Amino acid sequence: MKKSITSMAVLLVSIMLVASACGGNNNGGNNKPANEGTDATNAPAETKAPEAKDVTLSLRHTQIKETSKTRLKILEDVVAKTQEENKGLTFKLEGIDEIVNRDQKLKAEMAAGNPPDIFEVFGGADLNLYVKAGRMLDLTPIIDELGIKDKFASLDEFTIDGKVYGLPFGGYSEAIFYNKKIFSELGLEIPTTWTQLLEISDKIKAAGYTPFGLAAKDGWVNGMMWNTVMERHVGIDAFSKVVSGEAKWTDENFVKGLTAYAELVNKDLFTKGALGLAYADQGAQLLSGKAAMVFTGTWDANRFSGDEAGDLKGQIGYFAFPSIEGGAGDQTSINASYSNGFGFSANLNEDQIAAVKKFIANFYTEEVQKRTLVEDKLLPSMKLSDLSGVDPLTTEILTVMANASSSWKAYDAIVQPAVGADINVGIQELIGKVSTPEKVAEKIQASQEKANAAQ
Amino acid sequence: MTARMKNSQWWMHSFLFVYVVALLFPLLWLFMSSFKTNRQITENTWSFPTSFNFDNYVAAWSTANIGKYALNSVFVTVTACLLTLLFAAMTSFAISRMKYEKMNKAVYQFILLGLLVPAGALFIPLYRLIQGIELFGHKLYDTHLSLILVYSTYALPITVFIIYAFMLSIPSELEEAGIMDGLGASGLFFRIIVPISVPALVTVFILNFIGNWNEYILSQLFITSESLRTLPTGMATFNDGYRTNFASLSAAVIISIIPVLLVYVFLQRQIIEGMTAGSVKG
Amino acid sequence: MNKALKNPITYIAFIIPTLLLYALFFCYPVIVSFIYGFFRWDGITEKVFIGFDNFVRLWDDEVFRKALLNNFYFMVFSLIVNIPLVFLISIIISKVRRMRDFYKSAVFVPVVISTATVAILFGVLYNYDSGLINQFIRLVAPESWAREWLSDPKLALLSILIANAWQNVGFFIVLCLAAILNIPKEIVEASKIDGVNGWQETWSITLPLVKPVLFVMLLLSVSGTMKVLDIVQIMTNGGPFQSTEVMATYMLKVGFRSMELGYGSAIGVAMFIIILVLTGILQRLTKSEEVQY
Repeated sequence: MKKSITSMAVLLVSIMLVASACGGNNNGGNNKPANEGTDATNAPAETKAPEAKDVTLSLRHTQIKETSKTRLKILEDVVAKTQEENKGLTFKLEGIDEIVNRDQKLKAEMAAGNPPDIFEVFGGADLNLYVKAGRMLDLTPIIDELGIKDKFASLDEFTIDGKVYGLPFGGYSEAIFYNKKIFSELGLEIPTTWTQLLEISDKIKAAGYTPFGLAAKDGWVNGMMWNTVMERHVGIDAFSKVVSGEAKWTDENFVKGLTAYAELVNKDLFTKGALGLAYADQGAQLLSGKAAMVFTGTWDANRFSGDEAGDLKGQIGYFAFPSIEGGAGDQTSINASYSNGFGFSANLNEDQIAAVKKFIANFYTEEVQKRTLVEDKLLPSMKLSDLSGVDPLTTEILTVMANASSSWKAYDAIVQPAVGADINVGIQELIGKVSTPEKVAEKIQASQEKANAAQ
Repeated sequence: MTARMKNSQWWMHSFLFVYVVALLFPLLWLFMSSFKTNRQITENTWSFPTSFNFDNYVAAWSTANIGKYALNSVFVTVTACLLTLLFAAMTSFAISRMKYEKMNKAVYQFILLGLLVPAGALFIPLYRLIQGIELFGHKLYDTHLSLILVYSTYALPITVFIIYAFMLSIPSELEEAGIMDGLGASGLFFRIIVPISVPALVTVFILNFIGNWNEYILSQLFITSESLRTLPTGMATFNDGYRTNFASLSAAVIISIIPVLLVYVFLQRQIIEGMTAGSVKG
Repeated sequence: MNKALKNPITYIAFIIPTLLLYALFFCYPVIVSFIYGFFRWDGITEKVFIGFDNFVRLWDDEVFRKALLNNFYFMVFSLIVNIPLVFLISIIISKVRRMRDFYKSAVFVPVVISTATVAILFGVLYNYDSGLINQFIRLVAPESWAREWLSDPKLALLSILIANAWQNVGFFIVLCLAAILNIPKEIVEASKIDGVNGWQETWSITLPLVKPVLFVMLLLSVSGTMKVLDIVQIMTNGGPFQSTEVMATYMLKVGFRSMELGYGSAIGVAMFIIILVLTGILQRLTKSEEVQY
């Protein structure tokens, strides 16, 4: 008995030692003061890094998948070029999984105040938090100095209180991709009104095809088409108004929008069993010729014009979502967003900021943007004067975007994250036909009020 | 052998055969898909491949860096498994065979708590911890050691749990014989208990091997350098959420399960053969 | 007499490495995340201490309740389907004379597949249109019998349970089989002389003798199903409309996607307590039975 008490004591002591040691270590890891870099930002912008000085920048990207090899190559080329032009400057590239980075790695680093020097970041809710915590480098002076501020299509998603905290490297728009073969086989025209859309959908269905391919497992996928239908009915400003409390999800137009979406569901225009399918399946439905249309973002353009399309190669087109008669929104507007970009750490010292400037100057150029558009079919985030050499589908996409009367960002970049999650559930309930538009509206409104109250 | 017994053997074989076919069918499909192109998979999901074309294997091997990553995975996985096994066996021996009743119970229950916590909740604090630790002036972050230590730790509860249950059932006569021969506690452990426990050790070794071999999130969190990455990173290359390259993915999965199956087939005889030495207490 | 087994230095040397690793990499993060549960925190900006507010909120959270219920379905399924199946297959394999090694390897193969791959495989099998299950149904029955396996809220959870069983049963079979084959021949032969037939033997001799392994399987099933995460996350991510949400998927969604890390951590704490209570009950039950035996 006595012996076991002794060993118990030894054990306790050793556990305490471990616990205290690791506490100490942990603090040791976080010793970078969070706002160290803020002063550096205000330093005179024209300082040039002396050639011989050794500067290292860590760069975290998420282009590790097979499908993003081209994008990674372009980034690597820019990095190589920048290193060559600036002796002593080294970039350390780190590629990791996008979801792990977004949910855990970057988040933990942001909380601790030690993010990588350069990193991929999403505009919207994520960026808001990081800026609030003082972790993001204010890029306004840099892009002013480089004179590229007006060259971007939109810096909206990275601008907070007039300051720019990130630079988008590409964008997307969301509308309808369609199978031209099926359309010509059935003698269909591209619909420009809601009524026409429903008409051709009926015909497509009667011919044995799925009008709209859908893979609805993940909420954001359903959210795309829903978002556009809603915008047509309420106008995009209404989304901000529900956040400020000036409007309600249960208002007439919102319910009308939800009802319109439910109409598509109730006419069985979507893929059967969609709620169990992962996003990748949606494109497969279009490419296998089973579905005549899919509503999705232009990030799929690369896939739709690639080898997987088989004999449908060159037969996939893109058209704008039709207008909805009597809706309160901008009937020819489009959801287009430039939310994928690079952000920079607020911890950077003067030399590093000078190096960052060089990186930005090399990366955000018409040349790189053009190359990304041609090789990766990613929509440019900067205005391009020369659009030669672009493939037909991309041309269609650019035309659709050029013809749009206005563009807006998606609902999940406007409402609070928790509300966004509840919207996704609500749309799934409509797709699963287990709820009514009115009930869904009430539920979302309840969630909205809770989120508004917590602000 | 009586007719009835033959008959029952026949029934049991048919039953097992049906079960095994149903069980292995999805994998057979995976295997077939590994010889098809994506277009063929999209159009004719269930058809047989038209030819045995190894393009997918070549593509998987080179695109996903499988050669390099597999070596890393073997090192990390095996080291972590052996470490777990050693520590867990020592602890299990101490708390199942040594005579410190209260302490034994406390340690056992304490370690058992590890079975109850969802690991997903711990990643953020764990990552910050790993970033902060320095060993002999070297950062633990971005080393294989970080993965080895954490994998070992998270395998400990289930390993102790299973080995403890096994060691508890070893009859004490065997030990007494050892003590007669003048063995001390550690002698008993290495000379008598460990050899008897081989089946249990092998079983948990295989279980942990699979877990570590397939682990993805922690390896993404702790490892920064491209040259240190493990195999699941390569697998993930083909499945980016926006599109799945089934053809290459199936080839990559087949490649990645071969080492595990080899380990299993090689070790599985140990599970049963070793068992005959011990016996289970009712 | 057992001086050898009462050696404090060896004892401490044998348990310290485990406890050190365990305390550092496991207990420390657990404690930290427990503490988060008492804060309102988005994961980045300043934490705000709010006492038990998160737990009060949890009490009224319908989604959490739904998730808990789904965890119970998981547990019940594994107790009444998986474990009996494991036992049945193990018994049969132990009784066949030929090809035992083949069966033993074959049943184990699914275990080595990563959960991500399992989810993809079953996603293809369950597909409404081209999935093999529905194609088979259409072959032998009218079209209306085909089901939306993963998107019908009534079936989605069952579909996940089957995939989960497919992946996990093999390991338990190996465990159980080892225990059965380990039963000393003398006991079995003695019973044969007493005129006990095959199934009586299984019931009255094998089952009681493999009890320790059964207990291991029960406890692993209970704790495993209550904290199940990966397979649900990849197959349905809790959908459709949260009908397959389990506690762990909900915890991660709240913590990371809705940026309420504090509340997410509180869900984690609640899970821990629930599992603790359940396994405590299980330990009590098996103990009291041992006394009767």
